[in-house]
Amino acid sequence: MVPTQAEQPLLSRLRAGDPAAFQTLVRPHLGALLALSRRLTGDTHWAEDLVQETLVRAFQNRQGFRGEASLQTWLFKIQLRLARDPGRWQKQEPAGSLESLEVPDRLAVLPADAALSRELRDRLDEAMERLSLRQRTALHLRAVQGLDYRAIAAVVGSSRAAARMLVLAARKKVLDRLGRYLEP
Amino acid sequence: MSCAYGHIVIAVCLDGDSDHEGGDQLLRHLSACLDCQQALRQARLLDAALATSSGVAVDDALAERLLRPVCAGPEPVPAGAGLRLRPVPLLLGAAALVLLGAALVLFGVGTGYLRIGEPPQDQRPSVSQEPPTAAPEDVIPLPELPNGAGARRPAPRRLLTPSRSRIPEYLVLAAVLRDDRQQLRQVVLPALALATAPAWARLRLQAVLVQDHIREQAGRQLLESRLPRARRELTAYLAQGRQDPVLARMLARARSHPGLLGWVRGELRRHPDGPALAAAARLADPGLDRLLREACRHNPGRAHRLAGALAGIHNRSGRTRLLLDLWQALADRSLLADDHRLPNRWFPALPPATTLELCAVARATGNANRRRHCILALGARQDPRALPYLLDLICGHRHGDAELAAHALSQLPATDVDAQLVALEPRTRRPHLLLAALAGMCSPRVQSRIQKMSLTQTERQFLAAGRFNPKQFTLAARLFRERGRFTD
Repeated sequence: MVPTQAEQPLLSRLRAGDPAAFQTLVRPHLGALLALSRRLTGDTHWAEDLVQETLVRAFQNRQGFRGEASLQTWLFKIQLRLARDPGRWQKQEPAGSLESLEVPDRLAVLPADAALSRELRDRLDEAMERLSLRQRTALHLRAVQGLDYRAIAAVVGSSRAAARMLVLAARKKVLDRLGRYLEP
Repeated sequence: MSCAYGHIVIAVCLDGDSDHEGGDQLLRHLSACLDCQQALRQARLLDAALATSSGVAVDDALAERLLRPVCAGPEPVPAGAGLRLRPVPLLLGAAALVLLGAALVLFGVGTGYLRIGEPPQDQRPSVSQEPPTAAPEDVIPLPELPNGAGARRPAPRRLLTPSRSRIPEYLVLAAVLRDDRQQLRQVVLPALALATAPAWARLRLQAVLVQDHIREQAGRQLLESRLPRARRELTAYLAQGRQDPVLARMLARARSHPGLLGWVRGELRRHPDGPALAAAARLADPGLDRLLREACRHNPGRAHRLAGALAGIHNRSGRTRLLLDLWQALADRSLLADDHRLPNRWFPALPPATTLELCAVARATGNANRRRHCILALGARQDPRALPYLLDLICGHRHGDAELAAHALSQLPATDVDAQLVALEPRTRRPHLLLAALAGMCSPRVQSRIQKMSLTQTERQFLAAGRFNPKQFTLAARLFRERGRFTD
């Protein structure tokens, strides 16, 4: 999905280097970015770091956004590229005292998450972690974000047919692992 | 999924894939094939479970934190920007380092690296001079890593812990008690060299950390420690603002622990603005309460912090009297600019039992000021359980209290009480107060009454708008009393 008419003035301002325009544009996508990030890193803190890094890279490379795909797809693409190479962005900071560390709260999780049984959630996370990064991303984008195969293909850098096969293979692997937990 | 058409069925029915021809044929197959039905059902459940477990709510604070690097400063710099090296110079550099290291080893220069915080080698006691000493009590030996993990020696890292291989136990316990993963990742994991350990070890540790009983166990050990630093960590935990089920249990244990109570007492005397203030407020110890009253009676800022510490469902009920005492002390010293606003800041987030405690205090007291404070606090809590007491006051012989109670009533949710008030209105001693309360809560049951009254347009609009402050409420009650009866 290409950017809408309403987004065009903001995109022009973004290309001119306006951080406020960037904020306005990416704010609606933060939840999706964070969800994918958590799925890719398996850790809430690294997930925040990855999203921050994605946003910084996106802002720096704003001229590279040509508007052929949606902004969200472009951000997902940057995020996946960073997740493949954690050494590029994971900062190993020296430890400080307990008091001096700024510890962010846990990610706010929707109440529905609490309703999902803990065991199922753990199994699901485990099964997802066993997938390759591309399969995990493809399945997440399909099942959680509801992206079509064209957008998924753009994110994972493959053809549309390959994206479909990635989703199918990922689904099969996860179902094989937790089939009996998903009995209605 | 043993049926060969299973993946096509899922692609078409679940993902809306339009590449496949023969949709009708596929649907017919689906209606007949139990295997495909099962596969489709499971795939749907999987998608739903994934969507549910991946839901993340991004509030403004989190969004601000995520966007901070982009918005702060002229141009953000990616984390790895300064570290990126080209492969060839990197290889050359590595080769040079290897050669240098080999030369140093050959010529016997340097037998290890100097640890941060340790004295230089010439100042260290030699083994022959001093017998080996046992580890101090506040450090724990690190577990041996599984085979293979220990073989890969991690690169020397700069840590601010006393030693690279030993860390104080109280730091670990405090980090586990707080479920402080960042702390654990930055201090404990590198010290344990788990960065090079297999994934199962990291996952197991992470899984253990989220279990409350493990955290509570760490808290119990921290409670038994006599180290001042351990006490300080525990006090800071007890004063924290996060909603945490372990916190209530730790507070219950700490209340019966004389050592910790004594520590908090001393800390409160030395640093009344520190975390001991919030911890003492939550501990609900009579000795600590006396100190809190002394510390806060001249200082509204401290009193506000204390009230903030008592907010939340994990806190104990029974703290109402302390707050009322502080309110009274500050009001007596004229340290509160407008005490109508104070109850909205202090009382709404207190535990549910507070409403009944306020009613009991107000019934028992002979102090008019305290009763007034209780009524204002009841209004701020907006709890329908206060209704019987407020109605008693409205029908009682004290006019000032009746008007305040009616104002408190006007802040209750209309849907819960307005039917009762309308039924009561003809029989009560002060119907105008009930009508003003109904108008204050914007009840639709009083709107027709307002339309029939002989009022100016401004007065009618004023009454219809509702949500009166105490002064506006007096005016509204007067309008109902003086103009309400003539037109009915």
